[in-house]
Amino acid sequence: MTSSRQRVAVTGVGIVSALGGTAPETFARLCAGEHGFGPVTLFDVSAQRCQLAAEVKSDAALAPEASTDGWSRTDRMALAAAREALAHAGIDRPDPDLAVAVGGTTAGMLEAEGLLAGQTQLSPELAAERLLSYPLSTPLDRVRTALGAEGPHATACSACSSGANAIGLGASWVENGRASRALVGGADALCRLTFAGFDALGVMSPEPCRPFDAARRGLTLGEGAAFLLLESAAVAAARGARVLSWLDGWSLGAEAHHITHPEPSGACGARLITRAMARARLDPRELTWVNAHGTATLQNDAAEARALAVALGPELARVFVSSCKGQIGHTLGASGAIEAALTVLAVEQGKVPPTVGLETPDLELGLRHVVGRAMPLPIRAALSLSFGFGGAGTVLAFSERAREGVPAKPTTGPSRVRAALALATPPSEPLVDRLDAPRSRRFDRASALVTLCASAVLERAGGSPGEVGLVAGSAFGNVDRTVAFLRRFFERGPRFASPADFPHLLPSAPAGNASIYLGLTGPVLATADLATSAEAALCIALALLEDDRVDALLAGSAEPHDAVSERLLSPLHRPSDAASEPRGEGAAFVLLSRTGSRSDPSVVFWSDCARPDELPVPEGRARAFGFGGAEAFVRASSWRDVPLEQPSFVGVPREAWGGFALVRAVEALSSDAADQTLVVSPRGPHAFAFVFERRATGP
Amino acid sequence: MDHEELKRAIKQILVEELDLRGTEPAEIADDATLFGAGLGLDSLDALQLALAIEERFGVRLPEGEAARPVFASVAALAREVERLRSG
Repeated sequence: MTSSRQRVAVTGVGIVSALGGTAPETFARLCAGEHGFGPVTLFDVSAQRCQLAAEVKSDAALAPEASTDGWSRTDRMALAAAREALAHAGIDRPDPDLAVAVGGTTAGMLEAEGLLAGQTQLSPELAAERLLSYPLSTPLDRVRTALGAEGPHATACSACSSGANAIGLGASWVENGRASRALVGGADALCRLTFAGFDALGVMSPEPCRPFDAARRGLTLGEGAAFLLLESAAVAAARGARVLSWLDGWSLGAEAHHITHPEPSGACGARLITRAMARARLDPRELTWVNAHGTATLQNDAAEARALAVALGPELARVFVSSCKGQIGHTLGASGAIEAALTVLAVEQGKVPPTVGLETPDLELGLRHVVGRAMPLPIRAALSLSFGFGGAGTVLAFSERAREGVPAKPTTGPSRVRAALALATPPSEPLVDRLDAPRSRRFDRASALVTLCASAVLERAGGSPGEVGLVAGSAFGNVDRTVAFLRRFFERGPRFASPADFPHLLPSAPAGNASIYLGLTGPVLATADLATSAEAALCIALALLEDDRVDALLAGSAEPHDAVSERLLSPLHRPSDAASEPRGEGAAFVLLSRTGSRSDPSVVFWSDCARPDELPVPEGRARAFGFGGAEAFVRASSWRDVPLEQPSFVGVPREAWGGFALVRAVEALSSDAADQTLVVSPRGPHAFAFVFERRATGP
Repeated sequence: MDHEELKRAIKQILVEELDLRGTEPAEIADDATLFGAGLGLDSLDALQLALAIEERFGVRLPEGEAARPVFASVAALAREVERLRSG
């Protein structure tokens, strides 16, 4: 692990889209002005207003290898794009230190939705096996296993900015030396739920979408996957890798405005564009092209144009702005990754892709377009913009050449835990009644749990320390609400899919709802990692804090009770597990910042892929917490003489125990019952491990 | 269903479908503004309301600009439902 900041090079890309099963195919057809729209064939849409989508047709991309039987469509496209990015970068041997981050919104929904709604009858064993594709974390797990990657890892969901968010997170890992090589991107297959949901919202165009057109009538959905291989400048140079483009700047943030409507002034988008450019040390005069989110809805395109106008000022008249969505559709969680990969290729090859579908530009937007086919033009620097439901946005800045000068190292101290709280509740408790009614309409139990717990943590910390972000983990997310939506869809017909419920079904909805309720404008995203979702959320937050560009982050998990997945997955549980899991719900969150006082516990070590010999030697009165295989890990480490405490959190779902243990470890320090605490959660070949410390303050 | 019953039914739908916790259906005045400043409803609520009314009364309310006057209040909604049902 290196101590200085590293520049981030992009050395490989892989893309699966409706235009082709590989990046060169997709980019060539994109530049030629072709589109990939056609009638939906994956499922029946005959009763819906819109019947078009950009489906992936490549057999090779849908079956990247023989052993992907039982994998979801999302899993398979993800692996195909991931493998292509590695091959493109010339990496032909497994790299156990490889870091992987995957963004997405639906994972195996296409395969699971009939089962969840009780429409598909399978034996209990087959049903449980198929449901293994359902958790949001499955694409990441499958890609890592297939590639033999054991480095840092994260699943990121922030609706339609998920893929871009995963890339920004991976760039933070590389810049700060957490990883020297990170494979980052996103994948989302089409499914009935998103198709019916967007149709119910009335935002789907009956004809192929027309971004930035005066007559635009909404979006057209697509599907696909893309990955970028990011390498530190030093590692790329050492192996003589060809650098396609430099990822010099990125920024993540949220609007705290509305679950579906973009904030019309574009203020948040402008803030993120300005920050990403400042980080890349780019002046608006150096910018050649913007690969816009450009969904072709009235609201998105207008808000995005305003954000660009605010951030770029008079330079906007010179900069070209395109949207790829008129050719590959809106690929939701994959869109930020696919568009970033296309931006890398555009910079590398000096070609500005067109906006297809655009015939009569909406002059009120004030944008400069490329129409028809790609325009040859050296691209000095380009931005890729992504915005999603809940108001989460990500901006990535790519440059043709590495910028002069080394990025400044952070000057602030270690990350500190400003406050921590665990909340356990029986499922019968009417949680939303504890929230302000008009501002918590349609909150499900997960949204209420996250909001209540995060709000209480902020209160304990004495208010918001500046711009606060939120990383909310959950093993399965919002299953009960999803099941209710799907049942209605199958039983009453797609016409009766609930428009108001749909945006609340996204895995990022609890984080988005809480951010709007609490006014959080930092990075806002959801993550999932089965029984270690809180630990995964904490690691994402700590990686973002190492960036030194976020004031504070709330991180933890919320696990609502859900009867459906419990029943469907029961054949996979050992009887003893079931008996030890009393029904209940739980949420645990901590507030982390770099600016806490010396009396706040500090994070002296953290890792999502720790080996026992990496743990720092315990100091003072030490206590260790963990479950399952943690005992063997601790015994193999310098903490071997510290007794491992394995607390039971009665009435709390097992998936939430990691978060509760983290809070207990922090509270042991706050109450002066220890000087150092360790939390260990084994995961795969390695473990999540955190060491917290509180130094007695002087007189 | 007479006009008064229809308005009561629409108020019930408003409270249930739009999750207006803490509001009793009877508290909503017949001519109260529903969207924007009034009850604080937005276009997402309008879509949900149109769907619920279609399901319950079997009539399809207008969309887009034509929907504006129809969704102005409970009284306006009730008049439109009656008009569509008799037509």
